[in-house]
Formats: sequence, C-alpha cells, structure tokens
Amino acid sequence: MIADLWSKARQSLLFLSMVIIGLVFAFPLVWIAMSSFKTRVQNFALPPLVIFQPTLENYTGLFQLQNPAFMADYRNSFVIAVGSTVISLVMGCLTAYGFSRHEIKMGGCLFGWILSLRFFPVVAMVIPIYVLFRGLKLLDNHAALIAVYCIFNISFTIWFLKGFFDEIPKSLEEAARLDGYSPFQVFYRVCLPLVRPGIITAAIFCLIQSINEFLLAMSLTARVAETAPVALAKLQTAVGPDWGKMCAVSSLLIVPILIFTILVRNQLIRGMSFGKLK
Amino acid sequence: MATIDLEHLTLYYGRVLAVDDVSLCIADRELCVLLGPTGCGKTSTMRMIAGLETPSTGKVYLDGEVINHLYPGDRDVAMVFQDYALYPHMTVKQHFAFPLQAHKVTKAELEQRVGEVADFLQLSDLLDRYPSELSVGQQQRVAMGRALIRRPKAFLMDEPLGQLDGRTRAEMRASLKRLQQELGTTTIYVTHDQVEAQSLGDKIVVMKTGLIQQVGTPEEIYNDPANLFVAGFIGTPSMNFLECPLHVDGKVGLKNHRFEVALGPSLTQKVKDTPAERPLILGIRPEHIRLSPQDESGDLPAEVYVVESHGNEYVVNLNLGGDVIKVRRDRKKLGFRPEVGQTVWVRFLQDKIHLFDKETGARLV
Repeated sequence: MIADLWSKARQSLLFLSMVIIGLVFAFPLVWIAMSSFKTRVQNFALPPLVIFQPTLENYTGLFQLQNPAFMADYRNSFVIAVGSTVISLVMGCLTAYGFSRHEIKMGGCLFGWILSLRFFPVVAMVIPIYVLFRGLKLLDNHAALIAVYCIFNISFTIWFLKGFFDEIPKSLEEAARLDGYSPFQVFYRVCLPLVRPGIITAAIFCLIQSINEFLLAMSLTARVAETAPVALAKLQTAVGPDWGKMCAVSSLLIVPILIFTILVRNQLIRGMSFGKLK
Repeated sequence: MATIDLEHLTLYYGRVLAVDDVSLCIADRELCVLLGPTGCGKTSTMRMIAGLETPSTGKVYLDGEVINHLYPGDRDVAMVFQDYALYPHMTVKQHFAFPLQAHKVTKAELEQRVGEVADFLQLSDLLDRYPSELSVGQQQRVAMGRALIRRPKAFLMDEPLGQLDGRTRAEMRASLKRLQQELGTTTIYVTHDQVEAQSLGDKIVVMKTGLIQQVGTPEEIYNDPANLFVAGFIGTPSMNFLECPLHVDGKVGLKNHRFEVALGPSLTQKVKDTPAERPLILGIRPEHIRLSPQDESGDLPAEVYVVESHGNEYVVNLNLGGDVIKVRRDRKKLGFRPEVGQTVWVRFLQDKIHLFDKETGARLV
C-alpha cells in the first residue's frame, strides 16, 4: 500500500515537474504573443499586464511600414530559409548516404571537416564572405544568401542523417537490389522513407537556423534580399524599441515553424530520439 | 531449368580469405544445403551467387551462362535473408507487390499473384499489417512470399528458420521441403544446423574455413564422412573419437594405454598397408556401440558417467579408461537402466568403425 502511494506520489511529482518545465519554456513564446497584441503603453506597464484589451495595431502597422518593408522581408526570410533547407536536405541526404554505405578514402577526416563547418564562428567569416560576394556582384541577392546558409545547413544535415542511414540494415537494400531495383531506386524507395523522421528533424533545425540568422543577412543584404531578423533590428527607433511591432514580427516568424512542428511532431520525436527501426 | 555451377570461387575480405577455391555443381531442381560452422564461408558463397559479393577469382554460372558481371536484380534469383529483411514502412501486401513493381507487371496480374501467394502462405488476413505487427513465424512467411512471388530460377535461403522456436522450426522444415519439391525450383540453403541439413537437402556441401570438406547426399555424409571434421560435425550426438595407434601383435588391433580393440578380418584387410604404430583416431557413432550390463567376450569395461533421457532413448556418457564416449540406445532394446557409477561393457560394431589419420584428419577406413 505504501509502495502504491509512493508510486502515485512520484507520478504526480513527475507530472508537476513536466508542467512547470513546459510553462518555463512556453512562457517566453506566450509573452511575445501577448505583447504583440498590446499597445506601446501597455507594453511598458508596471506591473506587466496579463489581462488587457488586445489590439491589432502592431500587425496592421507592419503592413504599412516602408523601411523596413516588412512583408517583403518576411517573404524573403521564408524563401531563403525554405530554399536553403530544401537544397541542404537533398545534398545532405545523398552525401550522408554515401558516407554511410561506402568506404571512402580518408572518409573519417572528410566527415570531420564537413562537421567542422557547422561549428565555424560566423563572425569570423562575415567579412571574407562580404568581400568575396562584393567581387562577384552577389550582394543583396537571394541565391547568394541561400548558398551561404547551405554551408551550415548541409554540414549539419550530413552529420545528422548519417546516423539514421547507419541504422538501416544493409539486408534491406540487398533485398531490394535482388528484387531488381537500381541503386538510386533502392535509396529512394527503401532508405528515404525509413529516415523520414531524421529528414523532418533536420528540416526543422535548418529552417530555424536560417530564419533566425541575423549577422550574415545584415551584412550581405540591403533592400532586395533583406530578411525579417534585419527588419526586426530596424524596429529599434530613436525613441526606443517598438516592442509591440517587434513582438508581432517575432510571432509571425514563430507561428509557421510552430504549425509545421505540431503537424510533424510524431516524426520529430522519433527523429530526436534517433527512432529505432521496427 | 536452372543449374548453378561454381568454378574456383575465391573471396577475400581485405586480407582474410573467406572462400577458398570452391567449385560446385548444383543440378536443376536440386535442394543443395551449404552446411558448416559460423565463419566457414557458406553465406559468402551464397552471396557471390546472388551478386551481393564480387568474387576475387572464379566464375558463377547460371544455366551455363557466366553471371559474374550481372547486377543482382538481373540474375533472376530470389533470396530469403536470415533477418528476413522486411521493410518496416511497407505492409505485407506492399512487400509482395514490391518485386513485381520493379518488373513493371500489370496491376491486374500483380493483384492476382499477390492474392495467390497470400492464400498459399495463409497470409490473406494479414495483408494490411506492417512487419512490427506480425509474429516471427508470420514475418518468415512474408519473407518467403516475397521470394516466391517472383517465380525465380533459383531460391537462395540464408538460415531462414534460425529465429523460430524448435517446434515451429520442425514444422517449417517439412513445409519448406514440400514447397521446394512442388515448385521444382533449384534451391541453395545455408545452415549451421546439421539436423536441418539432413532433413532438407538432396545434396549437402560441408564447409570449413572457406573450403569444401565433402559433397554428398545426407546418407553419404553420415555414413561415409570424408574426414574428422565432417564426422564430428554430422550426427547428434556427434561421433565418438578415440586416439588409438594401429598395433600389430599377432593380430591387428587398436591399442592405447587404456584399452585395446581388436579389428575383425574386414577391417584388418583394409588397414594392411597402414604402417604399424601409426597414430590413428577411431571414430564410432553413439548408436553403433553395444552396451551390456555383463561382460561378454571382447567387450571393454566402462563406468557410467551421466545418463541422459531423450524420449524413448538413453544417451549414456561412459568413462572408458579416461575417455568419455556417448552411447545412444533405445530403452526397450537396451533392457536395463544404466545407473551412474555402474560398470557396463561396450562393444564397437566392427563394420561401423571409422579410422582417421590423426595428422591429416582424412578417413582411411
């Protein structure tokens, strides 16, 4: 009986801990969303307002902005993030598969070098890349920013997905080869479906990384390819930050990612736990 | 028609020699079993036939045509893997359809063949299930079905019954044998289980460390083993081995410091060219040793060490002057129950004695 009580108490404590941790992590997001519906005055109220009359003025104000032209910047962010993510996933999948399935001379060193790109400090490469892109006349260009983001995203994707491909038993591919499928068909019809959780997880990481990136976007873009984080920084007005609009921009950046994550949450959980094949 | 010929096949994994100059002919409709312990090269040999490994040297022929250069999918062979190799993301129906889709079979024909195979293997009610929702026995049948549906020239089976429990294994063995006979498809079957090999195979190829030790029917392998390894590997319990140099002292016999066995006229004739005192090993199967509670002329005394009861048989472990041998006798025919510590008398049936050269392991008689 004492054992039962202790078991129930432990489960309740665990649940309570999970709720608290969840609230702690969710709180910043919730506060940002709430602040986006507050007026300037309401945002500076002390104590902070939890119950208030919401307003859409921050959102409607974004559409009217000329500098930054927020909607254009918002579109740029997603075009560049999605473009970079798609290219990274395609190239990352193929490369990870190659590393997993083939003996490559000095493959370990090569793999380590690829991984090192992920850890390279962005601040150290901003100026060289700027000089390079200026010489190539690639400044303020969507494709150029996608290419730069691919440096980090591809290396991450290769490292992340190699583990997933390693988990696939070789006998599955051998069975498909014996059934008459070409090596690419085996990759496409057998291996890719099995690493789908990994692909989705990698996609989310790449999207978040690309959408959040500020330093390179600020340095390499001006008007045409300017992204939302740069626009966000420009909301620091002479009279101080426009918190309402900044929170509105942040919310608009978070929401699509959040929706995508919720839609693929099962695959994401499997991917995060390096989901076992069954 | 599908004959398979292997000509001087050799396979290296790096510097490790896995298959050493294997040459073999497998006739049409034959069920050939590659038998041997782990690491003997049997699976590697099969994989070379399938095209999953490239031979270092040698050729593989299918119906007289060299197929070394052919992609696995173009060889028209189907393989059942040891771990079944079922795709976790496909249902049973999709598993059956998958090989046919590679060959652009029409939808109508695909549905018909899937239905036929599912009915044959009693999987019709499970077509929408995924492998994780199936029992091990059902998974094994799905793997079989995926091979069957292709109607290949040859089946390659890599220990397909290895994961089943004893009873299911025995049932599946019989089903497999019947299936192969009905279909008449040339089959190569890899196993380390000599009971499985003997019950299934038309021909058994015993392998060790990449080399073929002996090729023959189950009866030939059992009754006339080519060497010590084959003799010891085949049979349950395995053959008893006793070191006994040849001794000639008026009559020919085998004598060591513990006991002496006289050889009858037939065996004496067969060893007449063998030098005296040559180190030999006497081999005798457990069922070819007579056991008696009383001393009869020419019998050897032994102490009962362990008595194992196997259904209607005893397997009696005896201490014969320091060597432990096993005797297998039917309970009723034995007439008495041996007790541990009891002294009994054993006699080797002369026409069942095998003599092996101790140094080479080759069978002399």
